[in-house]
Amino acid sequence: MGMTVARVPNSGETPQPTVIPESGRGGLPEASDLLLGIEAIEDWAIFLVDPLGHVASWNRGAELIKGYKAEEIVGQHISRFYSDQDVLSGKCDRQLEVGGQGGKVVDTGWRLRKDGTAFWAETILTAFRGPDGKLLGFINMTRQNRVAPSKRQEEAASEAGLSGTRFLADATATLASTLDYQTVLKAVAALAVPTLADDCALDVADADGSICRVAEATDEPEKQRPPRHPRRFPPGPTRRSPTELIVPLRTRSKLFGAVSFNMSRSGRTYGHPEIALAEELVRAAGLAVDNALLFKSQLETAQRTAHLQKTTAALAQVHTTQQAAEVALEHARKAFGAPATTLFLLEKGGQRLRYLAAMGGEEEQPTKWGVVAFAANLPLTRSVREGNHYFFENQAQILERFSGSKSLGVSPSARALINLALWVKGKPIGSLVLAFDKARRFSEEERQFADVFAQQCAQALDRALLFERERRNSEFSAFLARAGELLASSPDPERALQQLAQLVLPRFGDWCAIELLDGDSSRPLAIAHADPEKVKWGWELRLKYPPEHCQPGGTFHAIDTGQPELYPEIPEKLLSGVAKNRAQLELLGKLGMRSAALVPLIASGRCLGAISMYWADSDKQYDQSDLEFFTELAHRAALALEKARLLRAEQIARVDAERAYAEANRSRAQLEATFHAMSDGVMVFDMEGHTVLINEAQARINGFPHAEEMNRDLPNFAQMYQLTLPDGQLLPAEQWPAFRVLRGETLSECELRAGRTDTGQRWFFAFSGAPVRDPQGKQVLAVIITRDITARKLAEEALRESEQQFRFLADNLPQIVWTATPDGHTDYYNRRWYEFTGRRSGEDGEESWRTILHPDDVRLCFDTWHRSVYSGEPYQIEYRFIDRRTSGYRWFLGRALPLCDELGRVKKWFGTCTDIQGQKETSERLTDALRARDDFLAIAGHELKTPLAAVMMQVQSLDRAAKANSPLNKLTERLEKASKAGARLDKLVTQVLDVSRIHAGRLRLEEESFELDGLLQEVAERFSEQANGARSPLSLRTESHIIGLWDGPRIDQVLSNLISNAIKYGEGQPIEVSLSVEPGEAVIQVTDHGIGIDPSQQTKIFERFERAVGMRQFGGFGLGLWISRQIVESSGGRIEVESSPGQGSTFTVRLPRRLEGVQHVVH
Amino acid sequence: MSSTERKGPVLVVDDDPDVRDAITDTLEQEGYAWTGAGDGLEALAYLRSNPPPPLILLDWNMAPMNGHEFMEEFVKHPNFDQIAVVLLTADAKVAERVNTGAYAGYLQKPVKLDTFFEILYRYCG
Repeated sequence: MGMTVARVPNSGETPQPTVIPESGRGGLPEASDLLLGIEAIEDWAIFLVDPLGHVASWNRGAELIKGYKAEEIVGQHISRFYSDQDVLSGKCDRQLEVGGQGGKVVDTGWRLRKDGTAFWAETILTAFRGPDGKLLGFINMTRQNRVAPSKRQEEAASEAGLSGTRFLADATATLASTLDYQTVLKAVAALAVPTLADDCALDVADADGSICRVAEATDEPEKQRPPRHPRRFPPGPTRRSPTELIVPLRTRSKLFGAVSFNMSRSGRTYGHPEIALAEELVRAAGLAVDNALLFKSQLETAQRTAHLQKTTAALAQVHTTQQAAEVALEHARKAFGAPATTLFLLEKGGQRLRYLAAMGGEEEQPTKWGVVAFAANLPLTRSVREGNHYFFENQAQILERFSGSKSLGVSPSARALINLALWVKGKPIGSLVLAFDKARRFSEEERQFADVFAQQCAQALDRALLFERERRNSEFSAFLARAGELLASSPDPERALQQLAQLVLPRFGDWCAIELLDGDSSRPLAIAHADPEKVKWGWELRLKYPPEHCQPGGTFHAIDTGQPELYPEIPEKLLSGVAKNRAQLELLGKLGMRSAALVPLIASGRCLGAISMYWADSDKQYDQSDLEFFTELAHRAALALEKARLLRAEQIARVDAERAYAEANRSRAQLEATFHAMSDGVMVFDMEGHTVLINEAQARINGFPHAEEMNRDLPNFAQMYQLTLPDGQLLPAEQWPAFRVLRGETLSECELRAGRTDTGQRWFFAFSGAPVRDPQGKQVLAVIITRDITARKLAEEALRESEQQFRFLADNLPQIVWTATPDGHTDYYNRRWYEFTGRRSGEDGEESWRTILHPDDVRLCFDTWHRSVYSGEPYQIEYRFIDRRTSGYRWFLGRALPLCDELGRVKKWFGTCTDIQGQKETSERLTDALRARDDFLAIAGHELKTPLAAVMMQVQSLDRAAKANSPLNKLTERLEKASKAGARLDKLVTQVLDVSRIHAGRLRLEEESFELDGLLQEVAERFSEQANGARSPLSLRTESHIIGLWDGPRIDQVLSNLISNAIKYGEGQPIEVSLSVEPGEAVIQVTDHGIGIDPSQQTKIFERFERAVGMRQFGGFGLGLWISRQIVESSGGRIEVESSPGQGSTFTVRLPRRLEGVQHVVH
Repeated sequence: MSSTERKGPVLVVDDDPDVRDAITDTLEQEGYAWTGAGDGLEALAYLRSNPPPPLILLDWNMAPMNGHEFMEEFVKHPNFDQIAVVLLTADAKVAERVNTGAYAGYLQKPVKLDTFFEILYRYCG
């Protein structure tokens, strides 16, 4: 059987054979199981024998057959089983010797029992060897043969006679010598070749009815021609062709399979003798298979018995359902050879089967089969409901029975399935499911065994459940004790309840929420969950959707009815019914509550709130026992709350009593000590004005060292003191507070100025006073209380004065000044504000500055100011106020500083708004100027380099030419060009110098008398070539002999500039130049018909560094017109332009005509 | 203004007549054929109606069509693939910027004759 059995050396105890596996055995039972099976076999004596013939082990069968107990026989020699005759004849030793050499001895003969009686025995002695081939010992199998020896001998003799062939005898002996079913099958095929077939095959029917081949044999492996597979087994021997024969194989008359013979290769045919012989062989094979199957079934029965014992023993050890489940699954797997086993328990409510544990099989099972409704039409649930075990040997059977249901059960891929209903005391408790990956037959023995196995498991589970229930009860009690302790020991029961809410997790729920009743509404005291994120959601739900009285169930329902509520299951429908909107439903979904228990907190018949417990992710369910536990817990919590409330009430009462007592004491003490202890002065006069009492404070206030020295009557005081009204008016004595109180008036805080005539001391006093009457209501005394308010009054005055100074200062500042209260309310603006806004004092509303702000600045100002008010930090920002006079905006710099008290708290805000419009504009102008200058420098770089490049190239190239002796005339021409470019460079540099000169005020005009028309003609001639080259011919129209005093070269410069501009921007159109005389001035006009100038640019072109056309498109600095303007204006004239884009431009220069002899210098 | 049976021609594109003269005089003196153009448009007009010259010396700042705009047009014509364009500029920054792509090289104004001749030898033999 693919294993080696070795003997463990005897060490005094009962020796146990050890099995060493050679390789993985796939689905075979464990080796230990086999041994257990062997141990349990009863009708075979199976025992190990050492190489010398000593018994090494002993099974139950050996005990029954031979009558020895293991402890008696182990270590003894096997010769004692043989008769004396056999021992003497050496049979025993020979068998050991032959067995040791040949491996196996099959013997039939007499053997002795312990009691000395003999029995006819069939013995198989098989040697077993270690991996090194060394003989380790023998396995002896002996059975008592019930056939009488004489008859059996006769049968054997007659069989041999009948067949007359040695073949059949050998075959029968071979087949009889093995008990292994597989070996028998293989032997049948092997025996047929070559006597009965060239190729032989054996087919048997599988569990699911399909025919499969189990053995094949051939005489020539290379030419093997395996017989055809039969479609069905024939009832008797059948020739499929002359060379093919098929013979059915029967076991105890049951059709088990068929043997196919084929002799086509050797060309023989099946005639009558061959068929008869084949039949005989197959019949012998049938008997051998019968024996083997019997042996196998007994072996299995023994194994099952052993399994059951082991299972029962293991189940007896378990304490929890989980352990019970694991034991049941493990043993079911081994006992039935099922690759996947799963166990379900019926929940307490009896509504659902809950997955408990699984072994083997697909991994997704647990999640997929978490909970199954008990009412579902599945093999699993139906079997438990009916209390019947279901055995499905193949898928067809499952489908046949449950074709209606969509899913077949736990193992959709199972090929065979057992659903064991677990019932105890007539009630279902769960199901054990065994799934097989192959179709499989379940024998009657196996089914009975399964029933017993299921009962064992069910009882163990029931016991474990009971254990668990008890454990839970004791856990409940322990928790209640702990909670009671916590609640009793905490001075703050609400705090303790919050702790409790945490403590119940996760053992008693996933969520715990506690609501406390506060009058008609309730407030949440605690919401607990292991995940802080979820707690947040819990609070969100509670705060957004508080519990309500009108709800048909839930927290308030429990509070209102005072009854605990149990929701074993919270279906989706319930949630969507409760939720007011989608958001709430989503939140509820996030919290994921699946089961709930709500218990009211009741003490002294009053409901104080409720505790709500929920199962969520754990997917557990609350039951009645949970509810009872929570009720108990709530009872304790409520008592603690009530006790704390009573205690607090008692404390309050005690404190009140103490306070009342102290009050009484104080009143009495006041009578004695108040007057002297008071910081205010007290005088009491009788109705005649005599002093009854003057306290120390009064004396001190009035400038006396002691009360006694002031002890005078009222009229004396009238002489010694003067009282004046705040406006300085003297108060007549009869209007004095004391006299008014004597007349029955009551006074309060009557502020007066007082002065002492003898010392000249002066005070501010606040007088209060009241008449004292006897029980009859008659006035008997006047009490006057004097408070010295001099310091306060002086401070007030000083403040008033300082405020006046501040206002004076602020009103005369050029800036806007304001103040604001610490909360940001503006309470003062200076005069400048009212001037700027045109409003009057008192017209400003809250944040009146907002209305005059530029809309773009409102946000900045508002944010900045509010940030400062909040933080107490000063700020400085720029913003725009509308100027009511121009309706334009002006830039202001706004600053605010807080004035803080000694603790750093803001007392007042002081702010200024300074007009910085001028500054802004200046800086903008400066920026513009800088930009223009930078542009100029960029152009200058390029403009100066261009002629320089020409000069340098010419000069270098000329130098080269000169060295190569080029013709002179060529050189001259080019030298002129170089010189011309040099002159251009000079002109540019001159322009730059002119700018600098003009800027520094050093432009001097040297005037002389000349004809302007002559100069104009000269300039025009000079440009005619260039103008023609640009296809803009010049036409000149001028009056003659226009004589005047001008600076000739400078005017030349102006004209040149205008004409060259006209050519540059003239776009190849003719250019007209004219000179005419108007009263007192000469007028020169240069007109082109080129690109013209955009109106927006027309004033700018006369600015320094400005040019109407984009930079670098046209050569030059863009300084020409500015220089021209400077020259013309210095000459007392003016320059103007008239132009429209695309039409051309006319520049007009008006120069005053002056008499000779007048020198004119202009800066 | 071109001459025959000489090396070149070189197309000189510069809007400044002085600079253009200096270059063409030097070319003349060295025996190169040349053609002058006052801006990009003129240069393009020349290229459209004449066989492609081996070398163009291109100024950057020109009006109405400057060197950059000229190049944008220039690269669109597959026929001009064999023409080397060497940029002439006074602005070092521009030179750096265009020292990639379609330009064969650049010459900084004022031009050094040695470098100038090197370019000539390289592209016109």
